[in-house]
Amino acid sequence: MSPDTPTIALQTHALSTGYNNPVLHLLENMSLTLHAGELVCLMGPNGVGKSTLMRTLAGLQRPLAGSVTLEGGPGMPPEHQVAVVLTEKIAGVNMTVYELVTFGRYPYLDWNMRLREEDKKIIGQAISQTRIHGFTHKKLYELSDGQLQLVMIARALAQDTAVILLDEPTAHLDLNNRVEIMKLLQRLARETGKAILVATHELDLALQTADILWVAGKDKTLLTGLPEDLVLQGTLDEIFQLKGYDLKTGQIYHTAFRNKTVALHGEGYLYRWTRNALERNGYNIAASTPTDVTLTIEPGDRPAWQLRRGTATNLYYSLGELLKALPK
Amino acid sequence: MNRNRWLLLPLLLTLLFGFSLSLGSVRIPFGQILTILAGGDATEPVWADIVWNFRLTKALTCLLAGGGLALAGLQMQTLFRNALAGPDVLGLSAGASLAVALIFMGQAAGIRLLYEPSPWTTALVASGGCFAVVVIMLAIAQRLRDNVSLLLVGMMISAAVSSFVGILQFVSKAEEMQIYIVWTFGSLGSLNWPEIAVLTATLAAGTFLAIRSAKALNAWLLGQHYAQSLGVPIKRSRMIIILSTCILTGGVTAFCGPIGFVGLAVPHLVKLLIRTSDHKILIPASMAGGAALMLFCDVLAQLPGSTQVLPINAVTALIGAPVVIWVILRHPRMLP
Repeated sequence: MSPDTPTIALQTHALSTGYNNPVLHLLENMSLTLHAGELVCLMGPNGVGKSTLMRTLAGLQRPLAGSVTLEGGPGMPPEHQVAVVLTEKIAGVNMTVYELVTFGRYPYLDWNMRLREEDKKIIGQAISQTRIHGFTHKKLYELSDGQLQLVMIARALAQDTAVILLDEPTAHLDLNNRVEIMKLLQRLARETGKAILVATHELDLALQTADILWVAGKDKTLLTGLPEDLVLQGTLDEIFQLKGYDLKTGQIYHTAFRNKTVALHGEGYLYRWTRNALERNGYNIAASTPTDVTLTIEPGDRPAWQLRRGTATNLYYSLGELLKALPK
Repeated sequence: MNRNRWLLLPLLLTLLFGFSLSLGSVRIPFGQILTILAGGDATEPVWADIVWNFRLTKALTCLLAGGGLALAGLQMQTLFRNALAGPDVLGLSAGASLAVALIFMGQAAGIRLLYEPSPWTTALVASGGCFAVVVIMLAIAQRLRDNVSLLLVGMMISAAVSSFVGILQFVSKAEEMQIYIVWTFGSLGSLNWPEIAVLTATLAAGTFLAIRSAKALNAWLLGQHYAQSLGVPIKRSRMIIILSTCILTGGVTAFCGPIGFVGLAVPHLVKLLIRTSDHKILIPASMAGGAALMLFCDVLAQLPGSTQVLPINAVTALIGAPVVIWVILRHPRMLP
């Protein structure tokens, strides 16, 4: 296989998902492809049918129409091909982290569940890939939400499948853990060549980590594309009907309620955060328009802000001081 | 220390078994009991009969009934992922009760099923009652996708059956009602050797199914979708687990009456002692724990006056009810 045609790990043909009783079509006529080594984020408003699609792709729920094809074909049991991380709460708090990871080997074990050398090797790999070796002996009830999620991902890795589907793995986690999980998934896709599909609400994180976005929400269809393309084409704005968030700049809209314009000169992150402070406080920013207020950022070990109002010039060493001195 | 905590179980079991053998209305020295069990001659010939045909059968019945009910409870709690599930919850005990009520009190309602209810017919009819509920539950399980609904159906069946039994009690004669009520107290001491053999065979079948389900039971802990994603054939696995529970509960209920709380309480107590979620360990541990608790309850039932024996159900409820309250306090989310 040539490098430009990556292996197709999962493919759907005219797939419709939803429930039969009563007939509830959530998403219709989807022809989707998951490639090996790709991190795909599935996004969409609540109730659009993301979880149902995930379950259908995982073979846990029957499609209403169409089909899902896996790389290994119908001859290979689906549990050897797709692993999942779901939002369901798990029972068995007395379980240790290591025991939970061994669950990933269940599709390969007989009723007696004795681990072979090969199983132990794969479990060890999953543990080191998710970097959870520090607490494999701990019981599940001793873990934080973020740690538990890493363990669930390790369990999915131990299942040794070409595809991993994760349903909102970053829900209820703090920002640091959310970033850690998404970066981990991105790295896993690259390093292990698995196809990883993540249903998530984290638009900003998805835009920065996903190779491809699947966006559901418009007339029961699902749109796919490069994250950046979807931003520039306005697709995401349309579907999410973002309120006060400008996707193209990645910033929240501010109204310049003070009706004052500040000419701001500077560069780099100092410029970015100065601008942020000014806009948040209701000032207009202009680069060169004639205005009686000019602010120049002087970078250095100790950055300073030079404020010129008419003929008076003052120097400030923090944005807090500066904001107090600005005309209200 | 932590690692060897499981050793407590067999130790406790042996102790209680010995204790149970030495308790009774006739005082027999423990050395004599051992001699009799080893096949020797006792100083009093009647002691041999007492030990072989009363004490030993009763102690063995305790082992079997406790082990069977605890294993049934463990499986229910795991399958339904509900800390308060138990063999009674599926409506099995209720089914058995209805069947027994029908023979004991049916005459009054104009249904003359049997003239002389013997222990064997009671057993058979109780099993039939369990089985009828099983058939209904299996039919419903095929249609229902999730376990919580099944649990609710089981509770509704129990409620309906209880009210039907209530009506039967209302219209029946006092002495017929008495026989039925005595059966509902539960009894561990009335089994003879052939009956014990039948009970053993029944429970062995149920246990075999449970052991073969150990991997599936572990997977069920993660919930239906995870279990399915791990390749557990969920419909079939659920049937096998329910069937095993029915065989275990039906067998015990038939011979010993509806014994409450043991199935519910023991898995929690065992998990407190051996902190594991692995059913390869939990299955034997729960059986041992159930047997030990049953022996303990039986010892308690004998203690007050040596000639009078308390109804076993009163004792198990006294021990079980606090455990249930503790479980509710400890597991607010009701996950086992």
